[in-house]
Amino acid sequence: MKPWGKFFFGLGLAFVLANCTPAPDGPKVETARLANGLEIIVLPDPRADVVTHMLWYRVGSADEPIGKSGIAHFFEHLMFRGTEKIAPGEFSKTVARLGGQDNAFTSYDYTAYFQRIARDKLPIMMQMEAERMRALIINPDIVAVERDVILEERSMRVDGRPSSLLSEQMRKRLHAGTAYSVPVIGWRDEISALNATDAQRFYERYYAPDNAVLVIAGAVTLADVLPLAETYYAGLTPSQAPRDARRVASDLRVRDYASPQVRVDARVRQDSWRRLYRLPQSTAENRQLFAAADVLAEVLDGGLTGRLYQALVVEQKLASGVGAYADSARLDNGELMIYASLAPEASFDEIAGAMDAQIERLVQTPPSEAEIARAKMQLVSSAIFARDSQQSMADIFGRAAMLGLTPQDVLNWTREIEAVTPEDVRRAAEKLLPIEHSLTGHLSGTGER
Amino acid sequence: MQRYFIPFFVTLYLAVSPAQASPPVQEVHVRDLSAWMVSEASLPIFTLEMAWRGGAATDPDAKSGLSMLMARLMNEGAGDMPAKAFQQALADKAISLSFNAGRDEVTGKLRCLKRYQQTCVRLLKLALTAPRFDAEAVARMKQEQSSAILRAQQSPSALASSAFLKMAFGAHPYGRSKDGTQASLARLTRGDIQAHYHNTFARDNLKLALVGDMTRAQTRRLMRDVFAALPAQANLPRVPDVLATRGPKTKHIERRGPQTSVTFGHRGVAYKDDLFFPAFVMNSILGGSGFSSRLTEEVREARGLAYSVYSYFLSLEHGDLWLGSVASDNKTTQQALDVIRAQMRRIAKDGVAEPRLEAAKTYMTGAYALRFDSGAKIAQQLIGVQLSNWPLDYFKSRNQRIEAVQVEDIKAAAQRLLADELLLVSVGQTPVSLAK
Repeated sequence: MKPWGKFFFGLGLAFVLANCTPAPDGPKVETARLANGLEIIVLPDPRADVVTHMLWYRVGSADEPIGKSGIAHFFEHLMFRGTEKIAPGEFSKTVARLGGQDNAFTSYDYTAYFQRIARDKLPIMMQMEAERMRALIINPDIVAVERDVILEERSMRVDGRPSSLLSEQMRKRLHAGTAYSVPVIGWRDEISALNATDAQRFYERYYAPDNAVLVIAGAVTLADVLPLAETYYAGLTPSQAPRDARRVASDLRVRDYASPQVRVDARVRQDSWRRLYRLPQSTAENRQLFAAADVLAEVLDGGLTGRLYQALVVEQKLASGVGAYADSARLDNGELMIYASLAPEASFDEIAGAMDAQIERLVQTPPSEAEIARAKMQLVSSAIFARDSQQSMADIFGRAAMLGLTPQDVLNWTREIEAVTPEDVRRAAEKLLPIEHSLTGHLSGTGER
Repeated sequence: MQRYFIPFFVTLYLAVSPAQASPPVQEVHVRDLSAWMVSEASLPIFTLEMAWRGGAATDPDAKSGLSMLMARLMNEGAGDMPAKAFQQALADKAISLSFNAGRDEVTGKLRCLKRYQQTCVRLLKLALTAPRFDAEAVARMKQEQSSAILRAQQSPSALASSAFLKMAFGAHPYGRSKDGTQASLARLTRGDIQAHYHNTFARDNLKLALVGDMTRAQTRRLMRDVFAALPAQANLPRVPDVLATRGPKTKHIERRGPQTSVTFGHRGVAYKDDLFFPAFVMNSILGGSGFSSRLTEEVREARGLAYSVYSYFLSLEHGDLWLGSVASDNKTTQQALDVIRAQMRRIAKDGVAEPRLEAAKTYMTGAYALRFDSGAKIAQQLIGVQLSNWPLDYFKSRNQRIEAVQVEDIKAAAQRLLADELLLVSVGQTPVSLAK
């Protein structure tokens, strides 16, 4: 499924305190805000007697101090390792004993914690989540063990996977000089040096109600949630120390863009090619450009009907698989990626040539009405299919909130997609996909093509 | 802040009343066809899950990968529409139609917006009754599958698990990859695919599950319109039952990298065995419940030896396994395995205490409801339960059967099922020993 809402605008934190007004058949969204700054978004879905309780913090790896890469993600792990009232390891065990599941994730721009559980257990989830927002105990012995766990995680996700190593090296160059050049999980040597003092400092600043958004989806309404939120979250003290402004690249040209990042690695069996384009920061002013970018990526990708597949796989037989993906849901510079798995006889140059030709074609000539209609149909219907899952809904609205978007902005997205014209897509290709804004990567087992 | 807190121990004494897991499931019959359905009209969409018994286990030995290749081709053109035209017709109405091959079945999944129901049903029928298998599409899907075989060879965990299945099942079809080998794939012809299609897509081996904005009458009509046109009987070779080979046995595949990835296990337990539920609960405590499992506690939380460690039962139509997996630094892989084996011995020797069993039961019964909180998930449950040969009352009886498990059952299940004679495959730089 296409993620609904690959979009955002600006940092202006405008709060909507009333109910949003979706289309008559759209999802119901209710919002509120506590006096201590905690925002609340409720997405009622009465079909199952289950809720998804998520607490999102406006802090991610891109907010880490220089030299402390990995602390945001490290910290996420420590949130499970004991508070004043919850013994280490007991958080998840208590959730499980009550019939629920929990987890958390960290990204460049946010960190989120969630539990999925029967509705009647929601008060206890709130009680526990509120407890670890301000009463975590950072024990140096536990920090040391958890650091080993995270190094194992890095080995599994990155160091043992040539493809992840290539992406990491590409982003280091693509986003040079900005925070996105550093991987979310952190550099290995910097993770190894993280300690309890780093964690404590990070915690005090960012884990506070005025830096968080509570999202609850499932068998509840705001009327159910608000009294509970008042009980458990209203007593928490705000930190009044929001994250610092970051450096955003406005000159999007990439240094040495013409020399690809090459990784030759004997562990690779299927050679692959990829290119990342650095996108401008998404703001309130360029929303329509990014709506066009979503349609653009769909025209290029679009599964078997997309342009890249038809050209590289069906007609030219250079690739066994291809794709395009716009990740503009970032606070700073987003990315648009195109990629291909090489057919046995194909060379990296042939793939690049074929890809360039497809981009050039889009820059020169607007796509046909039929292509645009098909792309819009996929994108707009993805917003309907997303409503089938309370977890997806909580994820979409929570992520949007982290990027400074209101629920109303999310609901408006389908209308913005509907408004995109073929010429908008052509202009988006021209503006967003100059080769100078990109970096190409080669992943090869032998280095021989 | 203090005053907002209920003491935490209070929560542990609350009467546990798991949410009613499953919504009402109806059984629908049309002639010799049957389907399980949940009619739910709050969103204008529906999902249809289909499964035909057969799958990769029925591929001839020299032609492994045949079911998978056929499945890849089932949405690549039908009737008078070649692949591109067919895919465009689907995309124009945001219809998602895909097929896949499992070890014991070929599955299909259709997801539609209600307002395009007619187009959706028409295209599904066309795909099922008049697939084209054009030479162009066959060549392209062979290339895609060949690439999938290569990709599986570059993932340490995929390498370990495929080598493990080969070790456990030997020459039985379960020992092969569902994608086949480069050699078997190259041998497959359009004729093979055509024949396998006629042999697989029938009525007597078909299971159906439908969830969403469809009435009972509309579902009956869909079943009649689409599936009544299929042949009455499938014509597939009988797959023999198989017992996994006995350990101890190890195999090491050398691969550069910081970690060694290990798959270990041995014979498992069939769904129909009386020990299945005790074993299921026992494994949840040992390695099946994520953050709450003993393996996570001992390997990850106490020692920092791994990010991911787990175990599970794999119950196939003709054979059963208990499997586990861990990836640890080359320097600590042996230690991680020793800790895992100590936990296996511990649960077999001492069983579990009552509170731990109760916690496992409230987790398993409570979390069951989380599998039914979206239409797409409900459809997966409805087809999955049918494929496991459980009756319709499984959605109610499952939790009762978990509740009925007693502490002595856990110990008995562990003693009978957790043999220490493991089969083990390691991929990395540390050959793991079972000597200790």
